[in-house]
Amino acid sequence: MAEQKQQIEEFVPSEYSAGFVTEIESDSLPPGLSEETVREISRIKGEPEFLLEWRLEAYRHWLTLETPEWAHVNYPEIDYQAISYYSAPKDKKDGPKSLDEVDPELLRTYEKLGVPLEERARLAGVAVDAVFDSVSVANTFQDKLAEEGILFMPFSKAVKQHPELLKKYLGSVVSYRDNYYAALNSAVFSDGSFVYIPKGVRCPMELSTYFRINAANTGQFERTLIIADDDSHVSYLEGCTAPMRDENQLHAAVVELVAMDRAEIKYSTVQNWYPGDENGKGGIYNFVTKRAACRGESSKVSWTQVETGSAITWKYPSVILQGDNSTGEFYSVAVTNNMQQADTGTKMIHLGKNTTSTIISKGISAGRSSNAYRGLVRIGPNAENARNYTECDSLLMGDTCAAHTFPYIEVKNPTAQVEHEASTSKISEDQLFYCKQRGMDLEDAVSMIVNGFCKEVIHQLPMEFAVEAQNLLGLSLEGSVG
Amino acid sequence: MKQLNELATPFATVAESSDLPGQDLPWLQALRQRALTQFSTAGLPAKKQEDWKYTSLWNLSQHPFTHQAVESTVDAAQVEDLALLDDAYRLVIVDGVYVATLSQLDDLPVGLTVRPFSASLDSVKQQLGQQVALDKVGLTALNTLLMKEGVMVHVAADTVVDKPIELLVINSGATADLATHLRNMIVLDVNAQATVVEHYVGVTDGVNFTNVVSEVVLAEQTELFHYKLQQESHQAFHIATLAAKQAAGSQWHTQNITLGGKLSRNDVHSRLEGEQSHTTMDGLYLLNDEQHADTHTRIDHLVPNTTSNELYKGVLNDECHGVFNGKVIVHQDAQKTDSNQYNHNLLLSRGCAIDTKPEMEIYADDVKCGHGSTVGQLDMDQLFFLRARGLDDVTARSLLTHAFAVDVLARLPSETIRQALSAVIEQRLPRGEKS
Amino acid sequence: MLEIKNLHASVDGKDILKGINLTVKPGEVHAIMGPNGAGKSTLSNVLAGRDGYEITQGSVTFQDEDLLALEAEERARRGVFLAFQYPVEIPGVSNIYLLKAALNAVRTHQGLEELDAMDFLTLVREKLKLVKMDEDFMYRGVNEGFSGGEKKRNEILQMALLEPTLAILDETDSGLDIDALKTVSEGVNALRSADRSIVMITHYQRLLDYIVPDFVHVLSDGQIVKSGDKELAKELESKGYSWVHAEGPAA
Repeated sequence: MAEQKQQIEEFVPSEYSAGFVTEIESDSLPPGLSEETVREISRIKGEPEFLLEWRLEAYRHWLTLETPEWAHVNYPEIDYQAISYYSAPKDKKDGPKSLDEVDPELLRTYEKLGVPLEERARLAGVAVDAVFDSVSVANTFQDKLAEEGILFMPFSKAVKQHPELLKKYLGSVVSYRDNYYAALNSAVFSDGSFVYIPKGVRCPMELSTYFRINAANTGQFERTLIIADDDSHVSYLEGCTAPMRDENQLHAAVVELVAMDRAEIKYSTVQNWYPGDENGKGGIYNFVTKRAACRGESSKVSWTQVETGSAITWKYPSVILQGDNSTGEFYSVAVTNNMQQADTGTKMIHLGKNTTSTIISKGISAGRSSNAYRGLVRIGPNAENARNYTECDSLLMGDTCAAHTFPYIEVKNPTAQVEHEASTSKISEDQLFYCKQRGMDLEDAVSMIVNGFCKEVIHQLPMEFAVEAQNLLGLSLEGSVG
Repeated sequence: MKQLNELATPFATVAESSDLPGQDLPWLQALRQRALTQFSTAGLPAKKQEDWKYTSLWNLSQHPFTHQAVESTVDAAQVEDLALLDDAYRLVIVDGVYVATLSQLDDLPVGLTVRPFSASLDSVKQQLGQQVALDKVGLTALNTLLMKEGVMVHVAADTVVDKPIELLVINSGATADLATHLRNMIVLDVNAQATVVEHYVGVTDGVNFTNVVSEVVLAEQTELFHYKLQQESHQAFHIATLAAKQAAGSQWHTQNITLGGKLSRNDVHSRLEGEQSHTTMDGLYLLNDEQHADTHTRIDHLVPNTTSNELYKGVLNDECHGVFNGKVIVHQDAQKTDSNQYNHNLLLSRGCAIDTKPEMEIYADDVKCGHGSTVGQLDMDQLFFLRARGLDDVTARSLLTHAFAVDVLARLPSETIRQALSAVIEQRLPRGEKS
Repeated sequence: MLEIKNLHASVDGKDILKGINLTVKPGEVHAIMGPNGAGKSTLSNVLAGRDGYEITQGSVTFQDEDLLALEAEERARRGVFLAFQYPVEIPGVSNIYLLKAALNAVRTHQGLEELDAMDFLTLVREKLKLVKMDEDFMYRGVNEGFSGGEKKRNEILQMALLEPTLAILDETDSGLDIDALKTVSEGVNALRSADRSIVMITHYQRLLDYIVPDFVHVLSDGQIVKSGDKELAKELESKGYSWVHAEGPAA
């Protein structure tokens, strides 16, 4: 067995394939954060007064807060004055009108990342908003979507074209008072995606935003807002990558979802930010606040995430189940390898009657990484007949990694039924031997077993994403079996 | 955190004035001094501390307690009535004071020592305070500062004690607002085996504050069956810390049954320090009225090849509030750990609440760990079945609730003790109000 | 003994029973047959008094009393026994405890003394033989870990002990192999008497080969669409339920 272990460790750790840098000229704000920075961002984006005021309130509130320390992660103090809060490829401040206007270097970047921006992408049937550092650089299929009355555009454009919708919904699910990073994001967010699905419309294609951090010393602070009006349906995908750099970079996003009566939102993420090298040098600090409000009756929000990247992941996509008969789902795979740290999970807040939530979390730890599930299931006093089922499984690979489970269950209604199960396991030598005896090599065997472990979650992803996620799982864990 | 001067009871002054045992022992005085320093800085735990998130000690901090007990009138017949077991070695403490005349310690077998704490200071010197962390919780510091009485059980090597040992702690109600700080030491030498029952009873429904720390030291190949039954007054504050260190091959089976107290808090901790050691940690909290019961358990698997089973159940009625936090930590070298933890709760009426958090922290890969937690109601199909067989609604509910509750006694080997505990639980069952 | 008149019942606002009429006299054995979804289980649950069913019209009289006004346990004590299609498991409550509690509830209602432990045990042993069950079963949790056949035999054991006036057997044959079916049927046949009525609810005819009914009724879409003697069951078996549908509701 020792021999085999050595053999496994000899595998070269996988190359982070999205780790290249795009050589492109950028307009960036100098590092530093002050009220002036906030005003400057708002000025560059040409924002209405109400938004600037809101940013400033958020900034002033942020100043009163302390960094949260409850998560099971360790990192040096972040110097917020050393970060640049705005970076955009030159001359693209207003965003391109069509793909012809997009810098060919950028198109090549996205092509290299496998993101369909070109017209041939029509075949893939996915509408894409590509966010490069602080701004949106390409946004496809807008016309086709407009025929259905669907709004899918960069946040900065929505600010100008639909200020009334923003005024109504921005911060209505995640207040800037919510937490430290939400406050910071509210003050300095630069771009992101805005989606509005009108009443009764079933969005005919997958919508997706592709986030790319390119510039050095830059933080990315984007904001996504999705509103699904009565009886509408939308599936939204989100992907993220960044170059390999020795410094840590900060990503603090906020995502707000609103589902009205009988509306359904499916939100899928494949997060593959640069995780740092095998010694923990570099990588993205991913501090994200994602929350959905099931405002309407019989509404449904489903979060699916595959988290393989980032040096630190701190995110809890949550659902507030306000509407009667509403449903919240959270399907998660979180992989940590080398020195990565993840503290992720969800909150299901049951307020309405007959509300149902399901949580399926799969954590895979390898190397010297740490992987924690943190979840809250809260049943309010008026949430009659609420139901929750939680399943939380950890797979450990190697004796130097760690897996944790911190499930909070708070029940204040006697008709509630809550069930939580958790288990921990390893890939057994028997399983590996069995696979090898049947002719598989070690990598394939591990990949097969890991994919089997995550099957319930991967099945929730749209087809194109599922394939990408499966490959990513194999790559992230290469060289980690022991 | 509550500073000393914000507390309604001047605990520090009490320490100076009261006739605590061991004034002539420098090592003990030094320990008490450390406790005073610690308590002065840390005070009582506050809700913003994660371990106290759901439990407020505000009422405790604002209640003026006395440490001077007047003479009580508990007699032998009453003791017989209150004791859990008829046939046991028994040490009786009434209102914080050891009562020799009510205890049954005359015919102890060779190898067994059962003595009041105050008369055992020299023999506990080596191990006192080694199982608990003074700096962790202000209440342990407070206990160390003011500990006065308790029981010391010592079982010599290769001794198998023939009868259970019952520590019966009675609050007679003779002294209103009495605070008692008890310290128990249970030490089993190599290859010893014993059964110990810690039994706390309130006779009246008055207010009192029991702050008890029990330390358990299990040498190699020992086996301790350890039951704690808490039946204090529904106005009482009951704070209990129970901690064990286990050497190789030792087995600790502990059952923790909480029925009384207005506010109760149990911290149960085992450290599996030797290979092949095992902990069974079971418990039940059966609450009604406005009772608040908080149980925090922690099992540290520190070395390879250790096992633990944990099952806690809650039955909640009326306006009560239950809290359960179970933590299992598998340390980096603790390969081949096998651990499972379950917490199941039955909510029987509107107004009650449960907060439960079954946690795992795992730093080794070759382990089998599982936990589960549920919150729910009585099964409607079972209820209908029983009614269709002629049992009335109240009886059927009571029967199902009893079956749910006594499940935590299933692993208990002694038929006598199981039946005694089962009967106590049955008496306390809610009579099946409809939910 | 039992008189069901124009019984309508609904679940969650959906009408399931749509006017059942049935009269059962002492000592009679009636079989109620019907396809899935006809309302068979609803009928047995309504007769036994399960919550969750709304009686929208009609009446059920049992021994001159309004059965529908009684709680489930009151019906049981008056001699209405339901043998469940799916007997529940109740871990932690022993079979013997349940039997004793149930028997004493009935006896108390009848103004009889509770049986002492010895008499009770003697009685149980006698009844155990009837259904060929081992005494060990008595000390296990109710139906806990029992096989399908054991659960059904346990139902008949309870029936034998409680000696009901009216026994409703809900799909008692389902999930049984032929040997278990014989044992259960022998148990039921041994309990047939001039003052005990039995209503059997079943999907299949095969049970009726072992417990021969005096009357057979076909239940379809919440109504009894056809009644006859045991020959009707045979006819059904050969022609299928669609045959009854084609003929329409009985006048």
